[in-house]
Amino acid sequence: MSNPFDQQPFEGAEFVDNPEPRCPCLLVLDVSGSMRGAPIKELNEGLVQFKDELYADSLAAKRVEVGLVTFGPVTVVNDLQGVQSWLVPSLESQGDTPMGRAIEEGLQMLRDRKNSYRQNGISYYRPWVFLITDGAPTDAWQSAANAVKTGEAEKAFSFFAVGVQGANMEILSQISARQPLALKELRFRDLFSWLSSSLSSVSQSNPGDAVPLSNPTTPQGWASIA
Amino acid sequence: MSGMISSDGRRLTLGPLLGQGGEGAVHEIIEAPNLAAKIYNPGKAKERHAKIEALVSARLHATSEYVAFPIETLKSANGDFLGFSMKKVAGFKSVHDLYGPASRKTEFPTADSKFLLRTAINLASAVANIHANGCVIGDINHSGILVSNKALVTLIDSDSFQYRSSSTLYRCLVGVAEYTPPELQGASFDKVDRTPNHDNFGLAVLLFQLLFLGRHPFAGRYLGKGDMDIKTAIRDGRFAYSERRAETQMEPPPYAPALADYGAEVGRAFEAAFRLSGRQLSARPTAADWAARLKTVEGNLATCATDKSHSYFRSLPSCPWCKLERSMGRSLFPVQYSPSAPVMDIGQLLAAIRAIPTPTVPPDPETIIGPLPTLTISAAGQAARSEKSVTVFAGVIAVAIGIYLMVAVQGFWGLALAVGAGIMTLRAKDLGLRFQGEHKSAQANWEEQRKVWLDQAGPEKFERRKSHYLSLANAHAALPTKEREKLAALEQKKRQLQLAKHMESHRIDRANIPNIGQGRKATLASYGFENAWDIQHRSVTSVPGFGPSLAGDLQAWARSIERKFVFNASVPTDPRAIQEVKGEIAKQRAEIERELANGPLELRRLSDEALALHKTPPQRLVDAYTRLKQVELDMMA
Repeated sequence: MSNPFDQQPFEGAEFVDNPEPRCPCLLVLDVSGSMRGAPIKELNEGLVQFKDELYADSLAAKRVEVGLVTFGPVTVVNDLQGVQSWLVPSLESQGDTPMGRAIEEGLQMLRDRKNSYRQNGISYYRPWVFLITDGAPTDAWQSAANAVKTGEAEKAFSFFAVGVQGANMEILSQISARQPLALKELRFRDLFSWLSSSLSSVSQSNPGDAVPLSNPTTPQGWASIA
Repeated sequence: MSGMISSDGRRLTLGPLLGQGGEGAVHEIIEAPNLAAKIYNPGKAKERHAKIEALVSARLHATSEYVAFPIETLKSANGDFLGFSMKKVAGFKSVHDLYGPASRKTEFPTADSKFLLRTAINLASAVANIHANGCVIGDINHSGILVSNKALVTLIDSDSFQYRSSSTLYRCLVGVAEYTPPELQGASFDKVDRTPNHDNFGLAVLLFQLLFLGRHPFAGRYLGKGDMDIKTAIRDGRFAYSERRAETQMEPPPYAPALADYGAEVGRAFEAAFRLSGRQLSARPTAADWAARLKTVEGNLATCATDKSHSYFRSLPSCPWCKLERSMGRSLFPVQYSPSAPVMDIGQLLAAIRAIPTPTVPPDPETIIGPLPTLTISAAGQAARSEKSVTVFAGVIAVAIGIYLMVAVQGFWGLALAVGAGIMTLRAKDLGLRFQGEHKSAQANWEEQRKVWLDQAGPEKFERRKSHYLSLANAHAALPTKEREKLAALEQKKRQLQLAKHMESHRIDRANIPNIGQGRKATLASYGFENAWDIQHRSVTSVPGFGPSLAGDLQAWARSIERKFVFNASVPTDPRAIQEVKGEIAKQRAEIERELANGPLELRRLSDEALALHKTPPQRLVDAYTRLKQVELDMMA
């Protein structure tokens, strides 16, 4: 006779509770010393607003997952997880700018997450990777750049690079297959507002569809092309 | 722009915003609390004008109470078309909040498996009604369907339906791929005439999601290489739960109900709805078919004995929800054990269990088997015996010849022959050697059967089961304590959270700490030490310039803050967490009680069986005994 109180490990719980297709969004954020002061404060406020706006959209809240890697030093702040359970961290500036390793770490997280989607029969949208930096990498970034290019070519993810004032746009454009965007002033909140509404419309679309995004480089937008 | 004129001549005022979509916004109407107004975005109004006029003049809103059809057109004061009025759908929530297990627990806290089935029936009926009125939904999807807390279904976005007036076909220009049939995947909707059969596909997807815990029928584990997205899977007919697995190359995801869990009929209906067969698309069940079929299921539901929130198709051997919940260790529905349900009288049960006589130690089995029918030496034994006689006879002759040779002819060879023949003869005389293997196996068989018999006829098995039931009864008795402990743990957690908040509210920069001036405070802040909580949970000594002495000062300060903490017990604990604990305990109680209820019966049966075995030994035991005795007899020289 089996013991009725036997415990069994259960790993697919989140996918049973929420079987909606997932729309992963990985944020790779620069928190090196140069972000100290206003930039990090604006970034933190942008993140809070990002969560609030996604949370307000009941379908996006179930579908969008946020992962967060910071660099300087490279730290996985949180693995990809649903917006509903995501606790917005308060980031602090410190250290140098090991951008290359942060990107590679983040891409590995994405691969792992995709595997668990597949294991649990959960369909998903093409992940978004958002790199935000105000400097230039202090480590070897060429292999990360290759990984980004390969991933883009295989449609494994869409990679966006955003440079805050002081960023080396030259290197960013070598890392990202897309044209990197330059953040106007410190408009992090506008950026995250754009990101949440873009993710909302992606998450209402069908996995695999091309979703027309609003152009962030209009005069009113948060970005300019460097 | 807040004043407008309805087509029945009323002057109306726009109220607060209810919702915003890609085409326009939905507002309340101040003068008509039962109505809502959909106001198109400036660009959209013009292209929708004719269609809305047609829908209004067809008076479709009177044909169905399940759909928010346009009632009147709305125009601005200078006559521009703005949108339309429709019934306000209040207190309804999106169907995806119902079928997703996590959102169901918050949005539909009392919905159980029956509720889901009823919603599915109501949805099929609503769609059947729309089809009967000559409309096609076209863009059937998870957001356009709303469900009330009584499982009533209403469809919104009726202005995107396809409608054919006497003169014109107004197409549906949109569609969500997850609900679009294979033949329309990738089609441009402005060129396609939608048919009810197209809707039947999307309806089947939604019904599947309602009945299978929100799982999409085409999302599963793809056995081939690479990823399989839902659109492609639909186009290829890869229904993940299909029996045609070799063809679909898809497996259902883990922890999902099985296709047959609603009976074979419903399983076949889903197979038919999702099969790819260009020639016989009409094989898809219609909305009316679904309504009838699901009603049959509803009429044949059994309620699970363990958990009343589980209802399942009567002809299944056991409750599929229990099986699922056991495999994943969590409950899918709000557990419904009514607290007023009489808790089983464990005392009485224990008395009943104790009253059953324990079987006595059985007598030695040899004594009860009784005299065996007279055994005679078996054929094998006879053969061995005569063979032995021949060998012995030949041996004796050979010995005699040997002795003769030794004495009369050649001493050495004669001796050798005599000795060799002598050994052979002696060995042949011993039958035991020949039957050794058979004897061993007969002996082992007997021992085994004897052990089985002793176990069943004696007190061992009975005692084992009895102590199992007694330990279950103990576990049952311990449940209230366990529940109290778990609830206390919740309280404890509440205390922890409050303490953390308290500690965090004491900031270093505002505190008066010996030896810590503004400069050191700034250093601490730049290393992320902001409050008393940080001091207690991270090591300050990692900050340059902070040695054990300063760290000690800081910790003393943090401890003094902690001492000032007063727990506020009046802040309520999360009621959902409490409910979860109670549900879990109730579930364990129900499982134990279900098993315990069988206890007296099983023990009584074991006791009776033991007694019977004392009187009449089972045939296998007798056979084993007979076989052993036979071998022993054969062996006797």
